[in-house]
Amino acid sequence: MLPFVFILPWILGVLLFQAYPILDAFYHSFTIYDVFQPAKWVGLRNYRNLFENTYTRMALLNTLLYVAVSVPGGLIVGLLQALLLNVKVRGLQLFRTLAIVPGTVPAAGAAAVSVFIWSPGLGLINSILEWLGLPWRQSWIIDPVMVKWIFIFMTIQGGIGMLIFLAGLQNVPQELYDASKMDGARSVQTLFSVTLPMLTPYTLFNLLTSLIGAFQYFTAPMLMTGGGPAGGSTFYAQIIYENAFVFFRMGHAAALAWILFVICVVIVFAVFRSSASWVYYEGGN
Amino acid sequence: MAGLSTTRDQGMGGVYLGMRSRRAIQHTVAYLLIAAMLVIALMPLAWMFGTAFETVEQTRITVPIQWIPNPVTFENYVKGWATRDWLHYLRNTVFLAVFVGVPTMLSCTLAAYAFARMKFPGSEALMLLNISLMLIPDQVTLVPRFVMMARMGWVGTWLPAIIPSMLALNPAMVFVLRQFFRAIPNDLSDAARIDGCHDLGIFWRIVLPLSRPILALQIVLITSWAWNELLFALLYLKDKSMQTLTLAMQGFIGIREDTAWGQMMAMSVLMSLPMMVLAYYGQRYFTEGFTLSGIKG
Repeated sequence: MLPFVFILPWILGVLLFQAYPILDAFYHSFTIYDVFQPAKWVGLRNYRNLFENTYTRMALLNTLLYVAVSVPGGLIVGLLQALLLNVKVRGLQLFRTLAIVPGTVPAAGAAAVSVFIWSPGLGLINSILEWLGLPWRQSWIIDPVMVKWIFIFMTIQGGIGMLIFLAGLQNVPQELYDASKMDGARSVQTLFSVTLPMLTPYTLFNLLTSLIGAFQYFTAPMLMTGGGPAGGSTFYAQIIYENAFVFFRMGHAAALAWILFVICVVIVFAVFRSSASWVYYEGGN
Repeated sequence: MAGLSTTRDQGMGGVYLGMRSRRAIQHTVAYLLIAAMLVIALMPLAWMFGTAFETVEQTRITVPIQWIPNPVTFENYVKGWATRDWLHYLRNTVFLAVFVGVPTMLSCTLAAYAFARMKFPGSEALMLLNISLMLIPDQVTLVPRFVMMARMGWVGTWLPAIIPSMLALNPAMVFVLRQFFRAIPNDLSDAARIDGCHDLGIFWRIVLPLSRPILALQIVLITSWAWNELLFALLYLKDKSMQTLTLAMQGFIGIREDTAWGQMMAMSVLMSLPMMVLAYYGQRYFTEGFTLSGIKG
């Protein structure tokens, strides 16, 4: 009896706040619904409209670009940072602490600083370029194409993925390094045949969480640009939010949410299927 | 580096010298790379702190860049502080962390304990469901959840933060805690059981005290969530009396000719300080928590 008492809140939570909303969104994605009047069935019209809507298409393309570049980029940078912070040099503890600091700045603070850094007028980047005498001053954050790359660049910064890789590195058994050294392997060989394979479970975890996180990218663009200029930094999560809570097109928002759901399920499934061939579990789990 | 000169005198010859000097080179390269990484990572912060202590005129001078302002002024803090009631927003941010954090920790620990150390039919399947729920974006359930909360008349109260948290609506935390609880040796609970301790007693007296690092990590994560969160605040904390620091900052950030950059930076510094302190004291829990939480599956 006791296990069910312990788990009852969880079951209620799943039913009320996960299962029901997902099914409800599925139903309403086939309707026109503004909360104030009863939903009206329109079949596939929402889905058709979405694919014809240039704004939606742009947000989807921005998001796919963001995911495709920032996820692998973030993994590589996080891994490199973790490897560097695992070299046994003097002052390592201090370096690790310093490396964590930028990630602790809250989203609003980071947004404020980034807007300043990339602002064309008094911004840091343009100041540095001028200081170095380089003729590359740009309009950066007020340019509809460059703005996407600013958000991608901002995201590619170690962060929590780096910490997870670092924790993973502590779990690699010393015997493996010793054995590799005995066999006369060079550092690069050890990296590719010991360290990286042993880290693959952490890579899988980081890959999945950063993929799902990237599809939900919302806070930084909302704070910094509100999706502008000219929709250049409008990402998928923002148009779900806007359709539902600015335009009260709940049906549209539900269709968008379901497309996102399907995309994520497909990606997660593909990653898991492929993981059998590249993730190494010690003890063959 | 000192190794280079001392090894040269030794009779061992080239091999020893080679290994020593190669190590010295490797360490030098590592130092350089670490330094480069830290400079790039910390530059925005240095800029933020610097500008926060500059006058408006100093901010306007962009070349050469002044990293350390001279003279130092506090006028940005004074003026920025006066623009709105920051303590009010701080209080609401703390409320959000507490109202979400306390019930979430309670309900998730219970569920995770049941998953980890109790036998009941369907536990494996339900755990698999929990793992799949970790991978569903919040946006999928966003709209129906809001409509539901609105129907209940909860929008404009703290209930949308509290009620779902009471129902363990944090699959990632359930998973991580379950992995942690599973790793606690059975010998301990068996010994306690022989001494006449019941399930609840084992949970309370043995498992929870041993889980301090992972629970501390969860507190750090939830607090930093409250400091970063925007979407939830936009939907449920719109009312002036409930707005958080992030919402207050949203109105403060802008790219205009007359933007008060110094004040913006000063308020960012103030908002960031609590998180930096929290991370500084919480960092040992990070390595411990992630190492022991068994991401390895």
